[in-house]
Amino acid sequence: MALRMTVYQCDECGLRQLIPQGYCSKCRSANSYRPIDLEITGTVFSFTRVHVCEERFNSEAPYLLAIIECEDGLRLMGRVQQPVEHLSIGSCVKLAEFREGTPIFRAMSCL
Amino acid sequence: MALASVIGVGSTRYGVLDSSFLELVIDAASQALRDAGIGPEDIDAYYLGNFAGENFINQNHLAAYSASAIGLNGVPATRVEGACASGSLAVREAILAIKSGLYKRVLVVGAEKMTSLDTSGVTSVLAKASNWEAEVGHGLTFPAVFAFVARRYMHQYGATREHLAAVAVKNHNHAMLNPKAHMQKKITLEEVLSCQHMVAEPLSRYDCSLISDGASAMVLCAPELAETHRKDVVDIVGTGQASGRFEIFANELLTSFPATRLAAKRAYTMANIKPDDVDVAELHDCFTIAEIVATEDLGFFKPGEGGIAALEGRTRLGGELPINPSGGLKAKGHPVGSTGVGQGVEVVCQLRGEAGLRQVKNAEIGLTHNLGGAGGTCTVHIYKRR
Ligand SMILES: CC(C)(COP(=O)(O)OP(=O)(O)OC[C@H]1O[C@@H](n2cnc3c(N)ncnc32)[C@H](O)[C@@H]1OP(=O)(O)O)[C@@H](O)C(=O)NCCC(=O)NCCS
Ligand SMILES: [Zn+2]
Repeated sequence: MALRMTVYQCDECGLRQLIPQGYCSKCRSANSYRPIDLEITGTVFSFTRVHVCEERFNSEAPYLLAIIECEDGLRLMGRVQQPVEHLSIGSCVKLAEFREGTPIFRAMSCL
Repeated sequence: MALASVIGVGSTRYGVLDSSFLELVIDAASQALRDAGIGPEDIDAYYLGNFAGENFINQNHLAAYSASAIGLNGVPATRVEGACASGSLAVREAILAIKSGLYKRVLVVGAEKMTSLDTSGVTSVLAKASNWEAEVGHGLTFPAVFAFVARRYMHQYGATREHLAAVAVKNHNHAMLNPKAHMQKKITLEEVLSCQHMVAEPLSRYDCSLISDGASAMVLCAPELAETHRKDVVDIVGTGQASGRFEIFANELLTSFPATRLAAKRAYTMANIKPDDVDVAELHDCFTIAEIVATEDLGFFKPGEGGIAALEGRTRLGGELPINPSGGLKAKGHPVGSTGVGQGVEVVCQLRGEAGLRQVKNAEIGLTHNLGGAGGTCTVHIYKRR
């Protein structure tokens, strides 16, 4: 079964966000966010390779970290397991695993 | 119209210092009081800007802790925290308190003792200015926040690492003229571009601000009393503060901070000036890209032109708008909670004509810009020589 993640969607305007808002940024509705479980695919909006990190990530450093843009305005962040030369802004990625509760993305061919 | 007036300033050197947190606070505070020609008994209230004393020095209740050590017997003492903008938030609280009429003279101190931890420890503490659950837990560091911005800015505008490097070279050059700066080291564009110490690509060590200890202080008073204390009064004529989306991934463009734009608009409107009127500015260059983006958000340059302006030398001492004559966070240093107050101290020295070798000629209007976290908090202040 494909991996899913809980995000939130505004009942009124359909905007999706990782963190629900009391008043929706886009349509200003109150308490309109509901959780939904999604398979996460998206494109890289920006990325970096982190060299100086917190101790608990030392074994993975340097690691790729990206801001990922998905459908309906959803944005989130996660590490990407991928040779760095194959990653650029606009690359397509999908949620591939949770490592100790944190999401790891992998490249996929853009649809 | 003046909201409040600055009658005293003081600062420790920034750097890797032997002094304790309290010694730093006492040093900066007593310099500012001496500069104002007053003593602790003349102070009505005290505000402390500090980001993470609980992590760096294992101490909370920091306002009372430091007020007691200064010897401010009985004075109301309040700590203000807004990540890297903690210092300027403390300045703003002092301005509001004076403007309300409640207090006549207020002492503001910004202080941070960071070098008690190693780089990896500091990285963990600074990351707390971002969202733990959604970002930091997944591997975000503070340099990575601005690496995202840099990468997107380069993609959007075709900027290169040279544009970023120009900011580092300029601010290192400026710090050479500042005896209180953390790092006195001249660097060249070639050295920066060939640096192998990547922190968060495309940012290398030279794109980052320093991990510093330090404290800065100001005494603010009601405008109508200022001239009873000194002749060369500097007035604060505009203050703007704004909040913005907390997570860096929620920043729509990633090449601009909406909180900076809002805070700037509020401050300019209050001061009734335009960006063009500013003679000298101390901006939040926590990373080279942050200075470039700030020069655009503050209206000094058009979007996409801030990097070019830096490379052309338009923002160096002697240029059309000198930015960070102190050396900035990059080379003067960035003791987080102290920075916002230190920026004010530098601007006041510039407007009084006391900046020595780094003096901006005939500076009359100065601006400070202090950004907290990934743009969750921003404060802009406008200072004017009376
Ligand atoms: C850039 C950074 C990772 C360097 O840390 P580090 O790799 O542990 O570096 P060290 O402290 O071991 O110093 C190694 C050398 O680099 C120099 N150096 C350290 N940081 C530097 C910087 N930011 N710029 C230029 N030189 C720097 C040191 O002076 C030292 O020089 P030396 O070998 O000639 O003595 C660290 O300064 C940092 O994390 N800065 C960012 C702080 C930050 O995020 N602040 C909050 C922003 S909102
Ligand atoms: Zn909505």
